[in-house]
Amino acid sequence: MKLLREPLVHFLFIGAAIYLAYGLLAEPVEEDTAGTLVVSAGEIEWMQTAWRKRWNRPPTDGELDGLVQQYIRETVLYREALAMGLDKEDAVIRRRLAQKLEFLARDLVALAPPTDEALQAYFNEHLQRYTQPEHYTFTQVYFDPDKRGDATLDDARAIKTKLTTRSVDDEQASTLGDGFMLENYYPEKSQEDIRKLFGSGFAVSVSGLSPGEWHGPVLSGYGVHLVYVHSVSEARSPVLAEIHERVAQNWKTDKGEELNKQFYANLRDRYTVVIEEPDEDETLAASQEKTP
Amino acid sequence: MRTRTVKTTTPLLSIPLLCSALFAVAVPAGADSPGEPGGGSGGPNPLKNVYFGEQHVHTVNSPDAFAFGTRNTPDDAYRFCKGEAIKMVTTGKMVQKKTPYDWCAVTDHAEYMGVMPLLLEKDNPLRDTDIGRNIASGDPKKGEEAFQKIITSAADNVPISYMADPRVMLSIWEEQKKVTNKHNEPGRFTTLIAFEWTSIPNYQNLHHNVFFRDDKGPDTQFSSFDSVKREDLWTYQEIQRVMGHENFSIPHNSNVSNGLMFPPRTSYGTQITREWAERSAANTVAVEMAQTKGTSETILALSPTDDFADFETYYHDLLGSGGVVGKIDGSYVRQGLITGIGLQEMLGANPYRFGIVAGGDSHNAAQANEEFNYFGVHGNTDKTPQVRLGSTGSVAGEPARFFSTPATTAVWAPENTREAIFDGIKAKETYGTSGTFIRLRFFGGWDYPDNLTRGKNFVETAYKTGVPMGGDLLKKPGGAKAPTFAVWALKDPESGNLDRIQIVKGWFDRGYAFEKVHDVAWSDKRKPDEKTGSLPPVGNTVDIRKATYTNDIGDTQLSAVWTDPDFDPVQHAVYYARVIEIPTPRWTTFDARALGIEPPADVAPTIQERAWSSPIWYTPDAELVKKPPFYPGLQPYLP
Repeated sequence: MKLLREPLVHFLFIGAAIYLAYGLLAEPVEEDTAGTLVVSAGEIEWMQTAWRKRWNRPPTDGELDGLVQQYIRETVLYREALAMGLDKEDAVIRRRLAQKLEFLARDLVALAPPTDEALQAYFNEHLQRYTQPEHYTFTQVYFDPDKRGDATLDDARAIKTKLTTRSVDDEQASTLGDGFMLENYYPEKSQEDIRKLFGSGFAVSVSGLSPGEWHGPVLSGYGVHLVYVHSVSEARSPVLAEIHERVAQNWKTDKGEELNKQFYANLRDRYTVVIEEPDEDETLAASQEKTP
Repeated sequence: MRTRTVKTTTPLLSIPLLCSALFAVAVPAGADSPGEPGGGSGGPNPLKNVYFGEQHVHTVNSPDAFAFGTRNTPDDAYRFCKGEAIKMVTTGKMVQKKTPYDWCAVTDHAEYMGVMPLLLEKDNPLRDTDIGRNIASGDPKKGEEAFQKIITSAADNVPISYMADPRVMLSIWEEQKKVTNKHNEPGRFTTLIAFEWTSIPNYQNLHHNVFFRDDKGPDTQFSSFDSVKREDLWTYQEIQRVMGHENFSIPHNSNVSNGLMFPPRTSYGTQITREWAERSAANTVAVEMAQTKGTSETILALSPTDDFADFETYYHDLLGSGGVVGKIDGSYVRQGLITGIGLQEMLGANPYRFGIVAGGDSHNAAQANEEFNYFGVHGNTDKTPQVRLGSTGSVAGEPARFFSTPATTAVWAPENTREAIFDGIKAKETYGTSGTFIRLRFFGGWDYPDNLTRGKNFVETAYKTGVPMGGDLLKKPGGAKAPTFAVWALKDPESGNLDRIQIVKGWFDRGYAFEKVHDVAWSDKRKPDEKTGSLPPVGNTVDIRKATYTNDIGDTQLSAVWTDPDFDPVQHAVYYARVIEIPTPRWTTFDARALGIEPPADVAPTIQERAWSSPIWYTPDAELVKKPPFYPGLQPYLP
């Protein structure tokens, strides 16, 4: 029967079985605490606010009643589940709570911003990370290997000779190559920009070219190019004030990581951890399972 | 739905590669070249540049990602997207893209999104402790002191119970928006505020991501706890719009929606009306063609004569169903687009007027879209080649080898800003790729000259006298016989050459749905078979054992100006371009090489990466349309 294979059906069966078992075995829930369920005015106010933010109007009486009933239902089930110990050894809940504590620790960093001195020290230490890269202004002329075949490289060399010896105007130069979707002239591009446009090999090649003359053939994932670098703007190191925000953000991330490690180490220190050796048979089975 | 499928591969008009002789005199250096005019100048480019990016990625803040062992954050996801190296917490290894993205949107699930303590809230019990007072003082020294105290005291005085407060979830959303804004650098890198509405009634995937144009974003998200009905999601979207948060939604994994993505009925079981169709089209602007859980374009069962159907469709069980395979009808994008124009004819509005995007949906805060640089998508469950190709490597019951690399969205926009990227997607001037950086222009018009793609003013002319991908063909001039499409593709310099460009047409004729795939440009001067008209395969240079290939076959760029030979002005029609690369090794083949084993036998060792454009639609003038008494092609959609 197909129904029996449905995970939802399994879930319902298992749920019912657990509930029955606990009903028979567990201590009855304490009347005095479990018996009262207060839906506080603050809670109701919150429900109304949340509703307004989503629907741009307050809930009607009926809708509010629905929200309250839903809250009651969830609270009742939640409390009963807790009383039955369903939160214990639940993988999702374990992870969830662990995550909450991790987040708590992490976010505390945000509340203790760095002092100016601390930030300056951090900036000096990581100066390399903030160095702005060179920018290249260049012209490229494309030679299409699909069109020229084996002659592509020779054609490119011939054109290069022409360009060099006759000192052809850069504007006319690009008319000597083949049609191409990308541009001939690119001003002020970083190596990363060039990589996005022409691929990594070409980007690396361009960075090694001296300005003021024609180079090539330079290869790319598209084919063959002649390249003229007009200028290269030097890499420069900014001062802290220019990129204060970004440095503060990086500081926060690094500091958070450091403090988190410390936080965990402190917690971990409180425990005596005992790792039991599994039976040999089980170890064998486990290692076999891991072999692809 | 009954779909009769026909196919011709007869090229009507195919312009081979650009001829340099014609082109040579055309382009002075520094002036605009046909493809990316103005792209180098730095200012907004009215003829648009293409920006590659990710519109779908999950981080530690998604509970399922967390359960997979993912600990990397939204901050990591944005940095990875930008091209920075990040350390995967699952493996301790650094990962980095070879080619960075231009934009990114983290879309964590709205349901149970993260948790964040509201330490500075007035009613927070922590406020009344020494620690709280120290923190609230705003003095960095005291804050540090407080922090140390908490560190050493292991969060004494912090009652855990208050964190179950729903307010906590809102605060996470605020944090998510903050991180997203932090990484938005106009002109250099764009981020969009977004979340995923995770509706999955009875394992039928109806997931939508919701994206916002503004920097503030909505105060609240909309989750499947609020409603699993798409009509309610639209209401949420409409209200947020009124509140100043312009937005759209994008659904994904129609392949495992059990027909729910392009449904024959509303969520209430009633017939689709014109108003429903209009609301759908106004709120949902695009659909994911491909992502890690499979490609949704079409399958052989629906498109039996499409040689390139059934691409990356290894993943096919309904999510979390434990092996249930869903209904085909209503689950695939091509059929959905064609159904849409049928409904346009029948109802006067098209509910499935969607643009095309593609994404990752990876749950490890990174998008390993590069086949040769794949490191898994689901935390611990597929983190190393051993686990991925091992017999036990699986996610929700499906073997890791069935998953595809994250796919990619390309947007044509004047500049790389949040507004421009948002508007580009909203206008559907987008295309999806299976993860490579193919550049693709696609325009439709009535009087494009045969040599349009060769001329220096190609793009300018194409815009001026026609529409780009995602548009409606302009009104047909009296004398025009058929629409003409101009298409131009350039390969990814880090991937294989191009095999061919195709134009896929869908149309309705007397109540029946039809589709046809046309080869319009191809590499290596191949000749179509004289009898069948079919184009021979491009070949395969992949050395499977070494996981290498050569670009000896295929072309760098392909272009064509193509006129629809079967055009009938009374029929509704939809056209999109598909660009196919030559075969390259699939990620599983790279993994097998790393392990020194044979690639898995039940997935192809090679892959033909591809791009799918957003469609261009043709809607006949109302007086031309003769509605048939009955629509066999829309059977389940009828009253």
